[in-house]
Amino acid sequence: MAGILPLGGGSSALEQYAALLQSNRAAAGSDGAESAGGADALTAALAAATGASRPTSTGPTGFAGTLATSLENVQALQSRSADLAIQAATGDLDDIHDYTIAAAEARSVTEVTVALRNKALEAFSEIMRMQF
Amino acid sequence: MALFDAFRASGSGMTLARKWMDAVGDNIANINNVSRTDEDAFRQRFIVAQADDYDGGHTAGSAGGVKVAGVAFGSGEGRLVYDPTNVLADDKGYVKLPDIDMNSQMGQLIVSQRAYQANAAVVERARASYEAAINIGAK
Repeated sequence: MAGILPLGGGSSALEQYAALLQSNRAAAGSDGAESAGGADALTAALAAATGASRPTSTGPTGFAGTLATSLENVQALQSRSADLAIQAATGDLDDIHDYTIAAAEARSVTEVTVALRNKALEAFSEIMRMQF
Repeated sequence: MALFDAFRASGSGMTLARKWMDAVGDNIANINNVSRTDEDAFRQRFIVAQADDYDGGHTAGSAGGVKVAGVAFGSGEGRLVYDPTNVLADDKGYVKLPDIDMNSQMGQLIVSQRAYQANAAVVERARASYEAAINIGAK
């Protein structure tokens, strides 16, 4: 994910988190339905926090899947932005605003994803701090 | 993507304004071209704008905005100017100049510039709005 350079520290954290999700999903696949992955705990925490009675789901339908899908979207917008940046450098760019708008889109969607991740982690930490 | 419809629509408006400015630039660049009376004078260029019909946005459909339907050209008839010393003048001493009004071109230039700026302002406001939404509840 070299496309998210302007975000600085956030990008590497996001990258690590995506890797974590991938490994958790792989683990869930090998262990069958039973998985104690961090992502599933996160999903459970989210469900508990929102009062949802739905049983926690494993695999791509849970929070991990949602985040992974949105990360793919982010990736697509980032690469479009990067392509236009290259066009600007090589003089193939027809419209300046095509690049700047694509960059704004990529930035906004990245910020949304990071905000989503932060909120989920915040909820998770809140539950972990609970007194038993 | 419905999330960025405002960007898409305004971006198309900016593209249109840019093409309009290109056409005005072309017209002004050629406004003093002299032609023989038996040939066409430079033809003024127009941009034909057409609304891109909005069809829901949430699907892969159009987000609205505007598109360039095509380019139209003015008359090549031009206007006859008496200039017997010109090398292109005919037997009676006339040459042909394009029938373009400089005042109209300058007016169009200002309007197209403002249109571009207005669309850029929409993009910026939309971006600021989304940012405000992201920051809800942030510490």
